[in-house]
Amino acid sequence: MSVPSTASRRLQKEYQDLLKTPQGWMSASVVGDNLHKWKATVIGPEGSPFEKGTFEIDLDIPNDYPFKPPALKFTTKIYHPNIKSDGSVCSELLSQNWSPQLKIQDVLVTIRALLTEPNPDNPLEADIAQQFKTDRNAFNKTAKEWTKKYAK
Amino acid sequence: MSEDEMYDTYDGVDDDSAEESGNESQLDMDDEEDMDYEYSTQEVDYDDIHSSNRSNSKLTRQRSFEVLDKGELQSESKKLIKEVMDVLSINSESAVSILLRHLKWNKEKLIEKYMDNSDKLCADAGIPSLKLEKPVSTTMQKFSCLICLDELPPSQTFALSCDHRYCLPCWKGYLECKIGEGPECILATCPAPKCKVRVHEEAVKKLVETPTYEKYANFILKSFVDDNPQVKWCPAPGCIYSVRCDRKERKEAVTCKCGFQYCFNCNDFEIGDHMPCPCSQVDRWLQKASDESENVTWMLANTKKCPECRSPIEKNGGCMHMTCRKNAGGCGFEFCWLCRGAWSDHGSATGGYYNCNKYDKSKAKEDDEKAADAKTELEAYMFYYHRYESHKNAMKIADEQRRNAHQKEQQILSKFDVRSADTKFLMEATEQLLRNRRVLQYSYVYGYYLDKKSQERNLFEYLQEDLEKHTNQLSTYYELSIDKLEDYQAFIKWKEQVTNYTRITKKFLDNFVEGVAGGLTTQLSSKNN
Repeated sequence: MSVPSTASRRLQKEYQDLLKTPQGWMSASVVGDNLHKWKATVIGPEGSPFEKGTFEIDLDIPNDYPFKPPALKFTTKIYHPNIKSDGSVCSELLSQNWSPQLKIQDVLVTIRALLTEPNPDNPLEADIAQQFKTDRNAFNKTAKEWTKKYAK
Repeated sequence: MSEDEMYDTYDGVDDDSAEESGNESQLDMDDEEDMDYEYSTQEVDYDDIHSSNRSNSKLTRQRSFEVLDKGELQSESKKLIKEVMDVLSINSESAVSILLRHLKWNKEKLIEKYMDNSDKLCADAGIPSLKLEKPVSTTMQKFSCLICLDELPPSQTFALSCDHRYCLPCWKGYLECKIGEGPECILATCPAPKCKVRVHEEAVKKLVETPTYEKYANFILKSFVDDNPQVKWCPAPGCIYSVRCDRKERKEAVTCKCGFQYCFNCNDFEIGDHMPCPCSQVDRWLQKASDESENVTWMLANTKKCPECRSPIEKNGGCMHMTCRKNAGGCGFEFCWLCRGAWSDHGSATGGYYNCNKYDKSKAKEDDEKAADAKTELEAYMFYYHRYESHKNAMKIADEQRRNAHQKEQQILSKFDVRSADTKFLMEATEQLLRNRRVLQYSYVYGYYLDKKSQERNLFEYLQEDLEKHTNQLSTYYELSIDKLEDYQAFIKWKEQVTNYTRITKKFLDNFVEGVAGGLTTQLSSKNN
């Protein structure tokens, strides 16, 4: 059994499971008929400045998935110290504690946790991280504004 | 100076008498390089037999380094593992391998830590149980793999001691992926989220195909060398051998099977063997050469700072009237080069525009004297550096020189009716020349750091000059074109010349090395005469 077919079969199963049991806070679907390209949406977690925002994320799934994690990119603009202005996220976020047992849904759980709790000590956007640390109110304000403006 | 240093174990008296009787010992060169002359100190313990051995003060030839190929490396690591298994009564080779790797292959440390708290050590190393695998429970009927989400018969599954069970194809895919990522694969853990239990060699062997396993085993071997201060890869490009050296501060060069001779401690292809310098001196020298510090010295010697804006200015001719040029980033200030006073103050009162009598009393004079010192120091450095470089360059073309020597051998063989044994002297001369050049190269580093006015310096320079002179003489004879040899008689004469000079320069090289190691005391100079 070669690795790519493991990936396809597992992605197929994950997709079917998601269709069977939809989650309120997220949705994910395959783009076209390429099982290795997914589009997901995450609803901004309650209590965070991203609350009620709908954030779209592109997932690129490698051939050796699930042994390697997917790569992801926000396509919705977001004001966050760990998400670059082009939407990319530090790859360490997923690769560091990756386990082949984790699924796309787990990836999105991690993302949602990052929205609730930014990590300003490992920022991709240093200015935002600085603001997050020193002037939380200003950060929250801008983040809320951006959520309202872009994450509809 | 400790007794196991090579140089002072040369027995000077023996050496001399051998020469007087015209029987200079015919040491096999290769042998000499592989061995150290040393007292068998390693054998000395409280055992009577051994200590009597020592009182005889007999010189024994003992290897203090070993060149290892892959197979030998493998058996070395296996030997170490076996030793630990015996001492600690652990019967799993894989477990001991993990423990050893965890402590950078330090056997003593492992044994100590294991004795102290084996549970903690094993947990830290990622093997909480010495039973590294968990067999399938006999009651298990059905199995669903959490990675591929397929259902499989329990017999086609595997779990480490943590009992996170996955199917065999998923294990294979997981390990292949890890091994494909490189040397860090030897730290791979169980695929379960956050599980820290380490994958062991036996499991890898069982779960992946042979070529992949071999890759993994090579990474383990690599860690054996990389983490082990006693074993290092030969630094020569493309060389596959490694060298084990048990002595911490080995001064003499080691010679790899690839032919490269180098300092084990520095382990650097560029540096190679740096006899007679200590490693620290070579460090300092290279640091000096690469630093900007010499540029600073040059600036000090050749430039003065604009008295207004402190920009450095070089005077490359002309009169004393200087202008700090704005177009070169200066301030436009005009001043006198000698006293660094404003040019506007200069006139008849200072002995005329182009004369400055302020200089002698000025602070500027002090600065100049400092600069002159710096200039002398720089010139000294340049002297040594220049010679260091030229010998180094001669070393760089060593391979080419060896090839040329082979060509010359062929020429000789086709031109004269001689056997190939009759051309052996040419290769010997080549190697001797290279050896001399290498030592000469570093002798200029050593010389640079020698106290300028000391007695040692006199003797050092005397020995160095001797060596250099004779090396150059050998080089001249050696480079004679075969075309110039008219007949067999001429060849024989030439051969004798080269052979003699090879022998003589070897003598001078030995004297030099021995002299430096002996601390350059005056007794040795008499020997040289």
